[in-house]
Amino acid sequence: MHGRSGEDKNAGLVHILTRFPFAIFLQITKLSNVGDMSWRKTAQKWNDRSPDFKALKNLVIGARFLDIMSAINDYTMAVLENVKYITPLRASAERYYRRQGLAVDELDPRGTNFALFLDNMPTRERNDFSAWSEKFFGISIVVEESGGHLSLFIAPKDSREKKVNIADTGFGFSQMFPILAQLWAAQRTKEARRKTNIPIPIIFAIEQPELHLHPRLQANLADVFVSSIVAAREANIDLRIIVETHSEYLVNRLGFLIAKQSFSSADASVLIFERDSFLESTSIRHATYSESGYLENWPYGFFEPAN
Amino acid sequence: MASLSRPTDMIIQLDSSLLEVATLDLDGPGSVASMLELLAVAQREGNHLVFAEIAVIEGLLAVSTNYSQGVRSFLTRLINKFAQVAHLAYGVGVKLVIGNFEQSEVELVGGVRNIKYPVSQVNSNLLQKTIILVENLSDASFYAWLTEHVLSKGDYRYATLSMEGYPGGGNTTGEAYDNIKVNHSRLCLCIVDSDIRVPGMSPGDTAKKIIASDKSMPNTRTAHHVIGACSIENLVPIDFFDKAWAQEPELFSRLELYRGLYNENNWRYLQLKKEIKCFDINGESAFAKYWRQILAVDEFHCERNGSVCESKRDCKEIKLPALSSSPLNAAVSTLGSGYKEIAFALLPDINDAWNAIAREVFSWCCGAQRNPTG
Repeated sequence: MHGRSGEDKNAGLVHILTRFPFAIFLQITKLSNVGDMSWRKTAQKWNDRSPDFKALKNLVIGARFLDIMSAINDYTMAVLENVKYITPLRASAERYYRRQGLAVDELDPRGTNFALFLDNMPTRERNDFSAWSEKFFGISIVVEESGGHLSLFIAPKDSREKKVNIADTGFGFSQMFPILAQLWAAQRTKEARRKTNIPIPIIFAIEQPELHLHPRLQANLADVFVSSIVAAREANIDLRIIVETHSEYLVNRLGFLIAKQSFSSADASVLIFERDSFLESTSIRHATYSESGYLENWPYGFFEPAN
Repeated sequence: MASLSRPTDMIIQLDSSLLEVATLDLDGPGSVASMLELLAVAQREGNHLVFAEIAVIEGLLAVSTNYSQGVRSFLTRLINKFAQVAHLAYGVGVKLVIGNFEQSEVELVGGVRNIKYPVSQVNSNLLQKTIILVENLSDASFYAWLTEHVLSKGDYRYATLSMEGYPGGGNTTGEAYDNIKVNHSRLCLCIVDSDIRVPGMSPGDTAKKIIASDKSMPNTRTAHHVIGACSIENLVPIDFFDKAWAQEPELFSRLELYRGLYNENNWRYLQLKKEIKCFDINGESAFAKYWRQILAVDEFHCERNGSVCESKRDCKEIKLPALSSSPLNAAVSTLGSGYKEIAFALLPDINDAWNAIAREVFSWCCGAQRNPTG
């Protein structure tokens, strides 16, 4: 700025430079209503690498440092608050659940309130959830009330009248349904946004979803994960799933779904935690899926027992 | 430390040309159905690793009305394993490709040896474990151990080797190799000592026979490798002898004599099982000149006594005693205790020789875990 420019003009320049996104900072400096003649003459010659421009940008970053850190903090808080966690050992099925007069719209990490959660759903949504489950696992689920208690029943796709109390079925179903319900709910969550309108991802951290499941159902979990993410994306929800797993079937199936173009290879990867012995430190290997669905940088034989 | 930098394992791949004939033949020897039955068994037994593109497997399944449940299960398993196996399959150094081919031939594409094999010629013999033809069975044990050690440091640390050692009997290994070519239909990798005792020297008689055999009678199912050292004993790290002979003073004292020769460029030419006599290094042969210099021998007792010995047998002056009559057995006996317990470093040229052997063994003997459920 010219030395004779008034304080108001200087303050106006500072005001503009400190309120616009850095992505368009260079363009802002060149606007015809910014600064005085002397400023505009100099700024017109700038590009991203001009020393004066870089020095100015650093000054503005310094001046806005607290704002920037505050924005990062807000975003990080919002993301972390939106993380849903599902434990590896989920609640075992019970024959009856005591009905409570409380609205349950969120599952706890162990899924102990799954029956109440299901009971709390509007009928149409509950039926949709059951149909969704049937689509992937061939099994529908219903909740029934009797004498102030709730019971969960599952029924095979081709024989709905043969419903069975979930307590009388394999342990795996009771372990799987809390995961399905969480993902189902996530697809329908109202898009979370922070103050600045930046979309907040919904992150699911699921530990060993494969526990107690038949290998075929373990593979089907990959279908559920992919389907949930795709459905959420269609609803403008940024759903991300982090799975801690030892399931070869799940990893393989993910590759197959990518090969079949049900999912993009850029949307999935595998982190492998390796160490030769307990005395050595763990190293992390990043394996990615190719567009054809095969794993690159994968330690072949990782799931095989040592000879 | 030795390590394999590039995947070079052999796998069996189902070629897309199989789809051309899969619908034509129903069953019987030489048919696609029959071949798949054999492959399913080979995979179950862990003999070989089988790979196919998803489209090929789905194509086979689509016309598989005559396939057994075992074959269908095998093909489904190939699809399920695709994500883990494909990267390996695309980067392999040797591949047995089974397809609708007229004859067996080797096709070299970008450094990859594709052994194209007609489906009509596939039999259970071909799908047995690969034969490792060596002079003695203990050689095969050492090569398997060596390969596992090299693999243990890289991306293929979890891979499974599947092989069957076959003793060629020293200088009759060449005849055994020819016999396997003519009278068997199995895959075979022959590994022999070079017997090169001096830089620039030609390989010894056993290696010569094998090389000549592959020139005059090439076979797509077989290959040979001449090791980058005089004999297999030269590949053993000296630390193994230290451990094996710690309680045997005589052998240990001989090892002390050899310690000064444990260096790059010399060690690999040493004949560890034979002594070097004065007679051997007297004269102008390449061996005499080289080892006379290395052993820094300037006194020839035979000559000083007034006459040069007429034969090696007559010569009593030993300039370097044999390390042991069977140093490999001593080393192999320590393998059981686990290589991780013995810290060792390889000489650079021996390291290269290890890598070359491991690459070949992995190329021909990459298997899969036994899988009883198919």
